[in-house]
Amino acid sequence: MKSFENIDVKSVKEAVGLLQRFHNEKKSAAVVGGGSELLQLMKDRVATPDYLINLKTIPGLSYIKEERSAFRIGALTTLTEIEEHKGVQEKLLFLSQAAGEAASPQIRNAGTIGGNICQRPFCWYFRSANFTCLRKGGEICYAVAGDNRYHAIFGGGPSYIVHPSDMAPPLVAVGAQLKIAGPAGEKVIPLEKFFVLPQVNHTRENILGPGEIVTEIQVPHPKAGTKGFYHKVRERLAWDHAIVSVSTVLQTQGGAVREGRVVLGGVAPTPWRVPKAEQFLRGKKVDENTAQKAGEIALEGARPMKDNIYKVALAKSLIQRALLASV
Amino acid sequence: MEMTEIGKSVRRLDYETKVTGRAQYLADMSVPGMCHGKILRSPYPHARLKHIDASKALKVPGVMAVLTRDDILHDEGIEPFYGPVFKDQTIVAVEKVRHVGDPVAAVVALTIDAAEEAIRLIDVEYEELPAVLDVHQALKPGAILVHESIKLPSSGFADLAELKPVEGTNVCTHFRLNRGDIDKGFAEADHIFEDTFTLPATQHSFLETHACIASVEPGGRITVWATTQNPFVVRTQLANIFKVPVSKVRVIVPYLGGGYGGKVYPKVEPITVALAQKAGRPVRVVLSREEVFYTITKHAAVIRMKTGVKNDGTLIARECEIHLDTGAYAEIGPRVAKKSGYTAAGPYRIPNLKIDSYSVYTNKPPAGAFRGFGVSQSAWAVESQMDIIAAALKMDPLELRKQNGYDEGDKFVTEETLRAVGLKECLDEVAKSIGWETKVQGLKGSRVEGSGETNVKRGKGLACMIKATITPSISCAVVKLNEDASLSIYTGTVEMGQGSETVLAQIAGKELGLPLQTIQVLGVDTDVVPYDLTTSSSRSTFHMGKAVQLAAQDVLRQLKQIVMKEYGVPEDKVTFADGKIRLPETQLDYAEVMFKRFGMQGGTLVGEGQVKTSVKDEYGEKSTSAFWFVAAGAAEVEVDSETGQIKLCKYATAVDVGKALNPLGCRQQLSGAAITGIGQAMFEEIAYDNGQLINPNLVDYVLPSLGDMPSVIDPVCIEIPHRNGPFGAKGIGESALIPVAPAIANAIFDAVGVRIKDLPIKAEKIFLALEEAKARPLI
Repeated sequence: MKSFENIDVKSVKEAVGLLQRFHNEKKSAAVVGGGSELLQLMKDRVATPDYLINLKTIPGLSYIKEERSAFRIGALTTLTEIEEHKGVQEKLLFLSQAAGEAASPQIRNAGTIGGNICQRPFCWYFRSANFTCLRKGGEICYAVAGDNRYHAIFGGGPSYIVHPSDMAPPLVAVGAQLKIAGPAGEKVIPLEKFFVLPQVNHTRENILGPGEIVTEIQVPHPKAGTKGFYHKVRERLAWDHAIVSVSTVLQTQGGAVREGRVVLGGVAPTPWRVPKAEQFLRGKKVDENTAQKAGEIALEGARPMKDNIYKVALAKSLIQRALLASV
Repeated sequence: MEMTEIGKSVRRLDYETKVTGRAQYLADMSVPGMCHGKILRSPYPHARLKHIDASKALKVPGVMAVLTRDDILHDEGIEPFYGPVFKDQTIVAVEKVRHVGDPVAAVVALTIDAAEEAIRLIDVEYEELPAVLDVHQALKPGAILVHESIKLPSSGFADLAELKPVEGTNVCTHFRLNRGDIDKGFAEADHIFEDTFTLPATQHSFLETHACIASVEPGGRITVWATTQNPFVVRTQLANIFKVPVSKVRVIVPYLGGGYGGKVYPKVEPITVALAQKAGRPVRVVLSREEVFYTITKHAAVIRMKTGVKNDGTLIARECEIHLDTGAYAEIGPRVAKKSGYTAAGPYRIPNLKIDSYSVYTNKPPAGAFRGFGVSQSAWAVESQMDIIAAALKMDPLELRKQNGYDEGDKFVTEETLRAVGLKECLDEVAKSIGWETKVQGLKGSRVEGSGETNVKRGKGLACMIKATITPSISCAVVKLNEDASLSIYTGTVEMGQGSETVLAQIAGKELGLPLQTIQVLGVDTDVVPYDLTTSSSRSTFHMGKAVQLAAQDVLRQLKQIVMKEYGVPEDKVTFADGKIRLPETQLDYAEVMFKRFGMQGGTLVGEGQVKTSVKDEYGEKSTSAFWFVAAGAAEVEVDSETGQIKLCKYATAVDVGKALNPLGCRQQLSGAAITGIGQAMFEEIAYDNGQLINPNLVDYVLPSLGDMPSVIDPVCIEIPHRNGPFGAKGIGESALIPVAPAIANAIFDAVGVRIKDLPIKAEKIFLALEEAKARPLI
């Protein structure tokens, strides 16, 4: 690991100021929350910051506040805290489950929700010192000609990573908003708009600009008649990324879908909404047939690579099962 | 204190030390003045080393020395070439690098950080060469050569003497086994089956990575603390490399954090000693997990198997070609290939055989010993094909195995007589454990439906195996009876989690009638303990256990002599029971006798035991193995016929253990082997991209988690006593692992009718096979 200087900051403002200063001085700096992600990136020398800005010393960035229409979750809240929160379990059980299925207990105890949605890819080329890949400023995405069994079937090109976050897809499904602090002050955006496809920028996974930090996630309470579902398929049952995950949030009325979101994880460089399937479901009763059809519609346009065709079939099947379980 | 019993479960003696975290492992240790070593490794699978410049590295504050090829080539005190079979390895690369991760140079520094920084500042100019990426490519005529020439050792292993590299090719060794008349055999067959099975390179995945502390005294005396399963082999190899007598090399082995074959033969020791020598300071090198992936792997294999069968299921002929990817260095690959070849007929009587088993050089990290040693490769093919045959002949796979399986007194493929082989007992036990009868009904069409979702199908499968132990071999033991009648045991057996300390203490305790609490098994130090070949090949209980038993008997003999002399009792009137010496009128305890002998409380009685096995047994008959392991395994699975997702519901394993000295320890070891086998069967695979390892870490290399284990693992000990084992015991370390993969593949076939011939069996492969089956027109 490269040597670095650690700076304990006392406020978001101080952190933003430092980030901006280092950016202007062309020094590399990284913010650290739980550290479970950044530390590994530094050990692998994917990240080689000169300065670490330690957010854990900022008071009051870890909380779950249940307000009238939404939960407000501080960026430093750990996944374990989300998993175990009574209010979250009551209103958004699938979100608690998603938190509980991420990584391992030790990582969930340290890892924060802010860090989770800002994770870098777990692509094996990206993480290896022996490949200077496109996302690290190199010339090629090695997944194209290489072993791409875990790579994208949607939204790929010129880079084919999949977004590793377990929390992002269910948060997008439930319509979460994100609060970002930056040099120009605070802004709130839909989480969905936070992630960027490689065709927009192939070296970043999100829109955070210089000096910007995620400070809060706002999760609206589901409307009456809403049911959510989260299911993650992986190769081993603990400490593994999704091959495919599916998050559904459906609001039904009189047996028919009023509105709903279906979001896939593990299939694209961002959490992947399938709007055509969502549209198809609107006004329909969910049964074996519609669920199957929705799965098929959702996977239209999938572009599997040579080693990941399985993801297409798995995603179809998972959507079908998730929809049937959501009503 | 309770008397030591055999056949009664005892908690392992190292239990508390280990669960309380007090056990010392090598990476926890340091010695005064110790520096830290780091290794620069090749980023290329194959390249010529043109130029190395370490001048910048040497300027890093804290750096003591940099080791490059110049140090090993121009030092009269170093023999640069080494290796257990062929001398094809060097401490650091000399002319070429032959795999990604091949050591190129190394640094000693006062801190790990300084060593790491210095490594990055060594300038190396490579000329990239085309790389040999797999066995197919390696065997093509005119293929690029991994080694242009190979040095043979002046003396080597007796059992490998006939195996030589094939010059001008990448064939490291070619083992041939011919029996009967293969053409006639196939001519007599009613059915011929031909299949190709493959399995990937995998990792041993011990918790403790390889590590070493080395210290070289002026005058050349070398001390190493090593993470090794065979300290005496490491001692010999270091003595050869550094040109000193073995008495000048001391190898100390703390508790080993798992071995599984990945810690036999020199690994990180030669480079650590070279660093310590150059720096003039003790040096510690601890490999990272990634470096372990570059250090040793299990052989990937391609196995083509053609078998002739009579209508009634009798196996009559087999032709088999095994290609084992041994990577860039031979390591112990030649013996792995030989053992694969020997077991390509499985545990079955097949009169006509033509077996060709090759170890093949490629530009990949070296492959070596792995729990199951060549048999986990061959058995994958043998046992998968048995079920292919059974299905085609509409026979019960269990019956087909029993019909052809070895019985007591049968001849093995080497024409030697098999004794103490409880193969069919193992098969029957695992079949019983998973309720095989309901499966046979399944075959008739009433397949057991999985609970819950209707697309979930349930299936059952089994497999069995036979394996040899390394022969000839040597184990020596010394026990010391102390003045208070407590006992110290000195052996070279390495406690690496298998429970050897406990079982050796039990054997000595039973023989001498001493409670376990009075017995201490000492750690391994080659300056102190007598010679032992290796803690591998499932040999320690059988060989070292016997040596300890003989050493204990030696003490009894000495006690008897003392009693006869000091108390004037005739020999036939002295008997032993429960730690006491019984005389006609009275009984004495050992401490009293010791006092009598030495005239005060003090003194030591030293007992010695030696076990040496040879290529001939005590009947003068050929002996490829001092004893034979047999085992069977059975799996019950549920498979989602829509997505291919697999759930392993139950796994049963039965092993002929000879005699379960510590039944709890045996069951734990069988379960442990089964768990490793489950990983190999369904999860693990080193992934390569043009010679680069792309998953050399435990995030991307998928080891199973607890949740992936079946809710029931049923380990069963079958006891067919072996005449030469201590109290009839045989070795069991590897047996239970070997049948796992084919048993699971067979269960999956039973469940959904698709045959996976390529490990690991992942949901994706089942799904694709199901899709292919759907696309195929029904016949």
